[in-house]
Amino acid sequence: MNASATRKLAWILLPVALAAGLLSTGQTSLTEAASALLKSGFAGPDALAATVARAGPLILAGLAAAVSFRSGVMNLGVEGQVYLGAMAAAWVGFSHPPFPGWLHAGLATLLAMLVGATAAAAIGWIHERFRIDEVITSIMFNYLAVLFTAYLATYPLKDPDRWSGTTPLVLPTAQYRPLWLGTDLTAGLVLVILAIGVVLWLFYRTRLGFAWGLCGLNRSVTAWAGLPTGALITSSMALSGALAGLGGALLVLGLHHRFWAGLAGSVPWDGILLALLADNRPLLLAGLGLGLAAFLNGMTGAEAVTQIPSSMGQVIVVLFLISALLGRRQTRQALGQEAEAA
Amino acid sequence: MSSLLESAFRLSTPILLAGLGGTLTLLAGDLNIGLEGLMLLSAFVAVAADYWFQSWQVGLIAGLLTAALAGALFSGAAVRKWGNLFVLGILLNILAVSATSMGLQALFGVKGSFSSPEIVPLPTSAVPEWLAGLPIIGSFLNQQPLTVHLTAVLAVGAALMLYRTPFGLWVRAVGEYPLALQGAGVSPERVRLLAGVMGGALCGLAGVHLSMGHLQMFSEGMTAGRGFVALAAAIFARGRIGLLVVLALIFGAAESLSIRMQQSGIPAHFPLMIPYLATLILLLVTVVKRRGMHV
Amino acid sequence: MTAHETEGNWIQTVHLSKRFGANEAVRSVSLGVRAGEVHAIIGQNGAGKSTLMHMLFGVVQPDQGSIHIKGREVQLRSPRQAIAAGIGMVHQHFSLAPGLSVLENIVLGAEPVRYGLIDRRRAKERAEQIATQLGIPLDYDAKVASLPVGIRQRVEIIKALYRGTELLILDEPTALLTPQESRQLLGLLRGLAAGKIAVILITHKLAEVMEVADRVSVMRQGSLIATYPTKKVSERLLTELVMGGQVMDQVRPHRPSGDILLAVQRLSTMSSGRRVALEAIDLTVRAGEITAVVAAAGNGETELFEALAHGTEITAGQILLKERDITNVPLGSRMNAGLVVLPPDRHNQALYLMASIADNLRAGSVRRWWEWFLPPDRGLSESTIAQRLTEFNVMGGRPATLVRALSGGNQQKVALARTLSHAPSLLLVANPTRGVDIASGQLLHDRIRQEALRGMGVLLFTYDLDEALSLADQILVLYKGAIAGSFRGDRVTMQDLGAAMLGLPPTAPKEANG
Repeated sequence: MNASATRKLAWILLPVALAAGLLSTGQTSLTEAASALLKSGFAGPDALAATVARAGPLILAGLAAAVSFRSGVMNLGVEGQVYLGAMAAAWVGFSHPPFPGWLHAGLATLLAMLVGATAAAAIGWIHERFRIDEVITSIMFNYLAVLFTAYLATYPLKDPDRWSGTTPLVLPTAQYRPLWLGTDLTAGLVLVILAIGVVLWLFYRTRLGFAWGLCGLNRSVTAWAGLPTGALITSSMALSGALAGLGGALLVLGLHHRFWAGLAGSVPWDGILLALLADNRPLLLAGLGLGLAAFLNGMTGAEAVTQIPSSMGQVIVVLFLISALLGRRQTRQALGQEAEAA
Repeated sequence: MSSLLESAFRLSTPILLAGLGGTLTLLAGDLNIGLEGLMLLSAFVAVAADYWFQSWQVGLIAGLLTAALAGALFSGAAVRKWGNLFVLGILLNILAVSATSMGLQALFGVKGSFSSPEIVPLPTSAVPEWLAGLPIIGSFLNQQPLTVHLTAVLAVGAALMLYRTPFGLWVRAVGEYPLALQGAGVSPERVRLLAGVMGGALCGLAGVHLSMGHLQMFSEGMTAGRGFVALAAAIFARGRIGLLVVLALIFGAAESLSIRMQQSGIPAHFPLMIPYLATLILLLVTVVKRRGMHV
Repeated sequence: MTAHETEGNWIQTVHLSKRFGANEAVRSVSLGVRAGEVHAIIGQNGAGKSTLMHMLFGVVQPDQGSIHIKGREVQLRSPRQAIAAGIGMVHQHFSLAPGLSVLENIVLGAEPVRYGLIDRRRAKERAEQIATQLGIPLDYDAKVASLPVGIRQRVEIIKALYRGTELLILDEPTALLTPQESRQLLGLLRGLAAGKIAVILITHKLAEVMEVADRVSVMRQGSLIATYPTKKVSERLLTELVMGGQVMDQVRPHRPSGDILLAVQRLSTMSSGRRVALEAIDLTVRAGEITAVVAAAGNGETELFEALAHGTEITAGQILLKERDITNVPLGSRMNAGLVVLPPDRHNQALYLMASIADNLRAGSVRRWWEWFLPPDRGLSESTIAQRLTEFNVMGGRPATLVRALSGGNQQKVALARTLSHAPSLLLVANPTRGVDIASGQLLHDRIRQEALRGMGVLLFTYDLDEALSLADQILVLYKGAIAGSFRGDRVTMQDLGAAMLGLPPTAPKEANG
């Protein structure tokens, strides 16, 4: 085994060892914890279905981040866009529609995407136009969006029969149809697969995606090559926001069927982690998203059996990511000819 | 009115401290967008150490050390070119959120927040009544945790260091043009690393102030974006410490006003937005449109 | 190398060698430089001059051989140690921090300290003492960014002397200077030598060598070929030694030109920050014509180049390309109208270093929105690209090679290949051969000439007057944002250009063009 492979292995084993160390600080044995983790993450069709359902929003948030990262803008506003999208979907979803029922879910989804896209495009445009750091604007925007949707759910759009900060249940017409009864697998899964396909096609089969990649490599060179950097960045931000909004719609219309403050939990930031870890490659991102969902579900299961805090899962993921980033060499950004799409 | 001012001073303290830390990393060329994470980490560690050892001194030192170490890791990673600075900063923030949340569960067995009367607060000042009665100065001097006054001293110290000492000159030179420093025989890497450590320690003090001075508790996400507000202030002030102080005071006043408004029955959400809106508006209004090309 | 040969030399290298991977950058070089002499080192780019100097300045560690200062062997492991040993270096790219003041730059790393604070008064006294000796007046509080290039260079020299430098190395110091500024600098170097300082001058301008150097050493392919007293050697012999049998650029005969391609009329821009305002620029470029724009750095050349490429900040006037008004359209539309741009900064403007050659060649905009959804290869297959690379003689480059892995010269060939692949009617190009080896430079010049012969118009911005003289039919001189002179390429001398670059009246009757 050569030195670089050893190093790589060390970087992978390090977080595993750390995780094992952390886990063994609990009162339960390591094997017990591991078996509980595996059982609730993977074992049986129910666990698998739960994992896939949990992965959906993660993957969408990850794709949202990846699309913006590829063009060199850090859309850290994924969180705010998920909340805006979720709120928009919930609002359309619980309102009695003046249009045919079969349009209901579609319109709720579209509005969610539109809201997310508008918000993100605005951040991109402000960045382009005024040269304000998008990291700060998008994070400030997060706080504003989260507070604003929380206000809506607490006052004007509150479910009068429920506790504070929750909107009414969305109507059945607006809910994504279940694919397998008794599980959380819904038509939303189709949307996730569609989103992966669209992003793959754009990234590796179109000049637009190629040009986004060029922007991400070096915006100044791209401008000197005569490409419209402003439009490229705004468009990639718009798609990024639309995907985040779709993620919000999936949370509401596919999983929880109502909006509440804090609904998205750590999904948006986990998505950002996924994009970083997958180096913005959509298929890899989807695979890692499934793995992360299984792991997080497993940790929830393990928490019930053992005394291990489920938030430890998050820490292990971050440690893993850090070691993965540090362990790999600076790789070239994947552009056209490196298409991973079959 | 005076209580409004008192809380304004107390609330601008963490922003000014983290802003100073951010300024150091900004000038040294390794802008750390993980200020928020550094604050959160130190806030947690400080409370935990304080609670265990029943000593505010231990809590203070533990908080400072944690953040200084994290700052060193960040700048070290930047020096070694382990990854994009933004990515490293984001990782730092996410790690801080999850690690503190896990720590709460693992160490104290609680979710969300931890508070206890056994947490020893930072000592607060008591001054003679005639001093406390003075307008503005009184609110600054009286009944404030030690960190508030320390911050004032540190702001002056930072300005002196940056513009009057060799090390400050090196920091300003390294961020702008590392070759100048290298050509002058000073190791740019060492200067960047040291700036990262100092910046981290300043953020650490901000965290300590939040969890042991301003409040005596730790709650998840208690930094509430202050690190990013401070980052915006640091980027905007670009090394002008006086301006940074003014900005921190404005943000402190805005936050103090927002607390006052919440108490008066307005839906809490809107007052809570004030600091973030203020940051955005500040950035938007004052940025002069530059020319169209990235050069 | 025997002991008596090293005597009397302030610095002496003994069989110094350095290898980077397969490339033997410096081979067993033994070079001695005396206190009080100006020692020129000449050679092509890539001949090993820079590596040798980096070893003397402690930036690069030699693989073999030793360095002796005043007869004692020294280890120079860092610039800090080199400075402590009395070596100072003025780099080709300035090593001053532009946002700091002159005084701050001078004392950086060697600050006099009082009570822990920088003792500004003592620092200033010391710097002033050196500056007065050399007869250089300076504004110590000015920001370096606000100073012209010539002054910055003097600040660099004072900065080096402030540290007690006894050997001063200057790397192509006159590259960005006007002929007049260059003369002043060379005079300054003689003054330094008279003060018993050893001076190493790296240059490729033989006239400078003959004018100022006491001795000259020639490097080729990493080896030190010969050292001569300047008095005993001819410029012609030096040329032959440097080139090793290669042919020099031919001067292009003036040719009558075709229709007007580019017409710039009364073009003006705002000044903002450090940027110079352009004042009513008029110029035309005809089909088949090469027009050069020259200037001392900071006289509006960057601003004019960017205005022609992007049209930002234009306050008045017009740019017509083939009679079409392109004053207010973005670069993409200008390119659709037939303009292509090869910007001056290879690494930040012209090429994606971290992308493959193929991706670099495929970068480009589209004309209609739906073309964004076409495949990204723009009909440039791997084999077409490979063919293009052969055509441009890009050595060691296959379509999948990262541009970063190429030498400067080959990178520039890729950049030109991409630019010309758009079949342009007008090429806007800046400093195409800066930092490029001579052979690649000639190839680039040949390609530009060929395209001009086929009817393309060329607007060439350059700091290299030799380049302007060897290529251009028409030479325009910019001074303080306005055109200070317009000359025919075959009837102008260096002195005319130099005078115009400084805003002086022409020494001889001016040959106006058009």
